[in-house]
Amino acid sequence: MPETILRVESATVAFGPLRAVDGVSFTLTGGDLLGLIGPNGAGKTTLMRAITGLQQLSAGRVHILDQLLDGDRSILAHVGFTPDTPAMYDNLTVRDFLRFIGRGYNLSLGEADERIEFWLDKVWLREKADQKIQQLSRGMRQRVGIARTLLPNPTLILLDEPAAGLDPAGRAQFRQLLMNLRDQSKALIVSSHILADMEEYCSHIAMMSAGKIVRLGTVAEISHSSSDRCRYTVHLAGSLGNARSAVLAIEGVSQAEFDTERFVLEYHSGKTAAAELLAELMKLQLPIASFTANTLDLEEAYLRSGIRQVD
Amino acid sequence: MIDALFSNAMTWVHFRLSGGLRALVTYCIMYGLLVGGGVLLTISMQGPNGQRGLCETWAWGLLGLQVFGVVSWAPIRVFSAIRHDVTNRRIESHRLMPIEPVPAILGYIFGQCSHLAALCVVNLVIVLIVGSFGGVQPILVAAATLAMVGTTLFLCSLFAMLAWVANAGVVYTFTSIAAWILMQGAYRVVPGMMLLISVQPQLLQFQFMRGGPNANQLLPFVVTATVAQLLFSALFIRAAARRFTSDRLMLLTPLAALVLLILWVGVSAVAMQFIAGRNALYWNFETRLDALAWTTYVGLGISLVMVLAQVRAEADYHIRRAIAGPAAANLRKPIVAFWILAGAVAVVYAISFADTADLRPSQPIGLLVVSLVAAVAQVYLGAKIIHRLCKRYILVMVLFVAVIWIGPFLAQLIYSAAASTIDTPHGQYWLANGSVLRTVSAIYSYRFEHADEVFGGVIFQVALAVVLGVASRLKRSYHI
Repeated sequence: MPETILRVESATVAFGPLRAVDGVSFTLTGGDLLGLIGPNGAGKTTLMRAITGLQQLSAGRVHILDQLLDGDRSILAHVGFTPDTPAMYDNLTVRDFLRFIGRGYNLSLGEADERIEFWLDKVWLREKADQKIQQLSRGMRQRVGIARTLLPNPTLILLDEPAAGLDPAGRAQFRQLLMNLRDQSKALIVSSHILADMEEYCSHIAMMSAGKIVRLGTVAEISHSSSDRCRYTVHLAGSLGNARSAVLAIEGVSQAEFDTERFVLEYHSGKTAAAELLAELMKLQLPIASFTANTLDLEEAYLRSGIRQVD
Repeated sequence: MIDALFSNAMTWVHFRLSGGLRALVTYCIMYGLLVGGGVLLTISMQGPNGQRGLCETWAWGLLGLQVFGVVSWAPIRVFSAIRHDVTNRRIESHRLMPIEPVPAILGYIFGQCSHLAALCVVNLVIVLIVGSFGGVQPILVAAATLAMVGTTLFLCSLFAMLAWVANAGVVYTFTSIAAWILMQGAYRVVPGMMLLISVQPQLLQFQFMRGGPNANQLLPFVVTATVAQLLFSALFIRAAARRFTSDRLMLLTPLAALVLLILWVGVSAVAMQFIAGRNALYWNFETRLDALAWTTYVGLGISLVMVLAQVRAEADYHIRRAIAGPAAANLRKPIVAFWILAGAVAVVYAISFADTADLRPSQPIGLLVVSLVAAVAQVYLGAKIIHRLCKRYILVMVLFVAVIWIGPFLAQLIYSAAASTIDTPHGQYWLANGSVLRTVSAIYSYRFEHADEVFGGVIFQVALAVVLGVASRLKRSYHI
């Protein structure tokens, strides 16, 4: 049975009357990669900071490798955290900054240099190793931040918006890197708004809203959690005209969004249901140019979850 | 030990950030060549009769330069390094590392001061060589250096602690007020500081270090003061280390520090009485009373400013909490508390100033309070502007010194001249015989007998504070 790496029990972080994280509980074992998704202000970053001890818990407990996270901070040596904008010493070169991190984690000079070369290769920064950090682009700084997190070989890795500044090639490489880390039985938590990528590399997904985890499960479970419904996109060859109310009147249709020559609506899923819906639309004599049943993916599941943007 | 020091990650990184080994060697060679060449050149130009005196002058001059440079520069470097780590959130990265907090704070101090320390070593070598030709006793150079190291460590650790709880404006104001008070007499109370903090070198450190009749009697007190400073340094470093580990408030540790600080000043005052009573030194009865009065003000002033810094930290904490949610009402209490305490500090400052200027309650105290609150505001806002405008530490330091020592004097001169009070016999006497601030006090004293004339000066002070406040706001709004 895989080792339990992280156990979060009823974690709560309150700022005055506002509960940024509200009674969150979950467990991660080696090889788990949990994707945190949710609107801005849902509490994803605060939850990650609470797990790393950077944010004090108002209630609840966090256990890392079966050790309670409290006054004794030695367990944090096994935790790596990359915030959305990693803070570094801009006047140092990339190599010197990573050497500082190696010293901070009590690595010998030889071991630190060996690991630095390894991670510089992994994050495509070898050519920039002797450049000052202030000369790097945002994406490259993000790569340095990831190298900084992984240099001490942590068991629990938390990445907040890690792919935000990466180019397409960097994102592909980053996906591969995360899968390799999963294979090494590390536990990872990644917060991101790029749901297509998360579907590929996450083992589990937690949807957060207003500080709470509203859905938690494997990627497949979350993607198909509302599988009795499906979103259909209909493109028209001409104007919709006055048919809007007629479309909404079709039994089983809900959450319709209309443009001039296109509309999206929700209806029962499955081939038979799709055929029924198409037949009903044809009866309205609409100039239908195309009719598509959207694939059931994470993004669909998120959009249909009803989670709203926090004001 | 050096190896252990540099294996500390924080020492290493701050040493690198300060320029590393290459910069250290370059600075030392350049300084050695420049100063050594200057000394040789001037001595070779001097006739044989004056060479001994010139060597002695060079030795004391270089030692004074070292004392001034290190004591004023090192604490600012340490403060800035910590403050930048806090505001840029690098501290969160440090907190995840298995770095022991006390060595981390020492790392900030030693890493940031290593280049200065190397320059001091070069300087000391030059002082000892030149001093040996000028008849300077090495023991006195050693005593002055010991006092300098103790005071520097004390100030660095104090600033390292304040960096976690206060912004630059508060700390510069604190330092300005402390320096102002110390310059007016309180330095006589603390032997370690007596050597170091003065704008009247002919009366203090140089007289002492030239080996006057009382120099040897003072040596034990220098050692005592240095030990006391080291003890305080340990306490401040511990307080800073607590903050390195966590953002939680550290109310108890600063309180303990305050109690000890007040005790220290009290004990120093008793020691001063003892020395003055037995040996007379160069203190007369009036000076002793003056020093005792200032002892009280120093203790009270430092206590209040440190409490102010703590309240400020609490206000920051509550503001951070409130910003995350709709509880804007939470802002009111800490902000009100902050300003009440700020007012208290200003009043204490005003009272202490009134004492120096021999002002009695019959004098227009309300006018004085308004004037001095405006003066505090000037220093605070001026320091904030300087901090925002200057990216280079050296500029910060130069302007900081200007604000403390030159700024008030110039400001006073400007409106004193406007009121024609500088031409009075009283003002002229102090200008010729006393310190700058004594002169200012005398001018105040005279002017309070002519309150109508003073009124224009107070208006000027308030106007200056308002201008600085507006400039500070503009700087923030438009990122000038």
